Amino acid sequence: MKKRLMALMTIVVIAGSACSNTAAPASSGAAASQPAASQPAAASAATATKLVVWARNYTVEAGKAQPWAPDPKAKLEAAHPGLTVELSGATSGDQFNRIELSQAGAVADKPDIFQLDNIWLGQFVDEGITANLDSYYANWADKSDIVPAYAESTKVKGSQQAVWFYSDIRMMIWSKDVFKRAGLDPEKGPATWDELMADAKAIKDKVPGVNPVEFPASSEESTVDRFYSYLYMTGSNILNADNTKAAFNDAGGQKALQLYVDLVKQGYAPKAVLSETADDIYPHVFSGKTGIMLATVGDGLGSLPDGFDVSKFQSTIGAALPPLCSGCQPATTAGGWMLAINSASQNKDVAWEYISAVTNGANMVPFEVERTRIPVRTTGLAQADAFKADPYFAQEAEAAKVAHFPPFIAKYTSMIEILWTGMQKAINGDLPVKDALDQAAADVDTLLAP
Amino acid sequence: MAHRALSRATPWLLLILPLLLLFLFLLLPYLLTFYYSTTGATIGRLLNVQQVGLKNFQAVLSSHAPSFLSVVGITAVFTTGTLVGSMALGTGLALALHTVSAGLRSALLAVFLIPWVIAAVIIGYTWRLIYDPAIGLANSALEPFGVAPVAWLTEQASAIAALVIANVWAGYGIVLLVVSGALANVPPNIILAGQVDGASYRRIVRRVILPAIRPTFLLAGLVALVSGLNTFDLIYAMTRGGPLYQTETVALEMYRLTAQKGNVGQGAAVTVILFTVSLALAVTYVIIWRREARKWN
Repeated sequence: MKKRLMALMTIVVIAGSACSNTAAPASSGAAASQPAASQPAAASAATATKLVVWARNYTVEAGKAQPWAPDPKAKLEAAHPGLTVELSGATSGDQFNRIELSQAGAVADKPDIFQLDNIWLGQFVDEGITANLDSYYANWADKSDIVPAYAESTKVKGSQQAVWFYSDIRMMIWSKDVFKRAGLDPEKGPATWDELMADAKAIKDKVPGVNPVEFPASSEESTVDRFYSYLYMTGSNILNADNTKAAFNDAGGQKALQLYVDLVKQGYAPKAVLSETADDIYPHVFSGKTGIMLATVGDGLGSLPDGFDVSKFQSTIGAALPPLCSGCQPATTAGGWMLAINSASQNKDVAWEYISAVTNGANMVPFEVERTRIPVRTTGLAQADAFKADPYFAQEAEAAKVAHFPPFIAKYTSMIEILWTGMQKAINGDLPVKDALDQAAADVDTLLAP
Repeated sequence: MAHRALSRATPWLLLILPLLLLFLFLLLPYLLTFYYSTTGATIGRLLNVQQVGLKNFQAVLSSHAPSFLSVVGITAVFTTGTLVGSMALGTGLALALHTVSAGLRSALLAVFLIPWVIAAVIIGYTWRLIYDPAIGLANSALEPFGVAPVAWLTEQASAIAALVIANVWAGYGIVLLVVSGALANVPPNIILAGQVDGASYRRIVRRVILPAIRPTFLLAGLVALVSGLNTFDLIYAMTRGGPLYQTETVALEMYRLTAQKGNVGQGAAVTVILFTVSLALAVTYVIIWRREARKWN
């Protein structure tokens, strides 16, 4: 009898512990913890406070330069006895999901600080996830250090909602080997659309088996992201000023998409671009199978193929701002990562203190150099010596000054699907450029309608 | 008395844990999916959601970008291709292995099963690279024959064919395994009888072996069918349903609506539709199986 009772109790204990274990995965990939929001407001020696930070995985990678630690973390913990900074990293998709799900009550803990892709900002603001940072910005001495092109882009609906962390810039790249074989100057990429067409023709005529030009046009984000620079330079925009209606179908937008269509029609770009992402095209340029990639993330050193070092990169690849159309203004697109404070955080003051320390220009540089990211502080951009390993840092720094950003709206991911579908219809020859963009614009207007 | 009660209760007590896990990780997600399919839930709002009745189903069925009919058509073609390809390749290899010695058969079986144990997303990216128009293996292999580079994943017909080939490669292993198991159980004496009667191996396969393993065929066919129907990761890695939704299957539609657009309600509605179709296939299988079983008995 006793034995059976023991067996019964063992079963109950095992079942109980199994249930508690099964709850762990549901609490997200973040380190399981007590809800940060329930922690006391201010750190003190008497109370243990945890500052929960949800970051991207590579910013907390052991053995690499980290912006979070050791210095900023150690100093913050020393200044606030009882405070522990808890960092956890996630891939891009997981980061988005865990932030979203933390609001849905699906995970027990919420972050105090979280890192977000700039294209998520509108959605997070709409969902009330981000704290309004206007009061912090008002007294922030480092505010003037933010690169002017970036300064206003953390504002949504007139209020500061995030702090820029680091950036990446879209640049045109070309294969110097292909240029040499086509009899072109390998050190000089096309600066205008006319030069682009002339260079493409030269490559097509003289280097058989090579795609003169490529750009991503498949069903994913890089299609629109790499297109924006050409749209912005015409003076067009993605949405109107208050982000309520599509603007990409205006004359400038049509002109930009017509460039893509013309490149395919004239055989300078293969129709296969419709199934290619930016990541697919990048190795084509490195292997000399493609002459010019219209736009890519300008962090070539961060994703060098095997066997490439800096000098081989420089001798193989050229990089410059996207070529300009007649009467257009230099422009490029910037992406990147920001930091925000959770609106539900009970530790906003200390969270802001940590963000200020982490994003400081001097603190960020070692990380940005190692990962070839673009600084968003003028003090960072000024440190050309630190970035000397990047042969195109000077061009990237110039590009940062004319950077544009996609609109930070809640329905951004749905909107870009409509846009890339419209682009594909025009490139595939299913519809004229104007009709394809008008149709996409009408769908976007419907999507954005209140 | 207490002793008897405990005896009766013991099996149930032992079952508590597995049943609880089954409920948490299988039944509860099913129930939640059915529930969410009738709500306006979004990925950021899963609690206190508004009931919308069958509106999600209506929205999914009347969608024009892409049309649900086109998605169903693409799914049907892809699934049929996967079913036929997996059955043909898996059965063919199993029959070929059946003719070699047991030791060699085990070694070769292990080799042939490798694709089946690799994560589909890795297979997807590998095949994507193979199909790359500029640096891919497929075009390099055709180049010596004077074939111009093919944009495999751009046109709908070649893209679906390319996806089917990749999915067959990824999934024929289960058919191979099931059919190999069945072949091992075919009584050798009926094969010997056929050989004594002077029948060729081809005739023995057609007249003796295949009829003997027919029930297994049904199972292998169902598994291949459902795997084709539910394939998501491989297609997502290779085409993401594009270009122009030309390779968008029901499974991808489900993901696109739920994870990309955050429309959990509509995504759940697609899931319910997919679940219902899979269930219908499974029920059909059981009915056929029982009918066949009656014949054997």
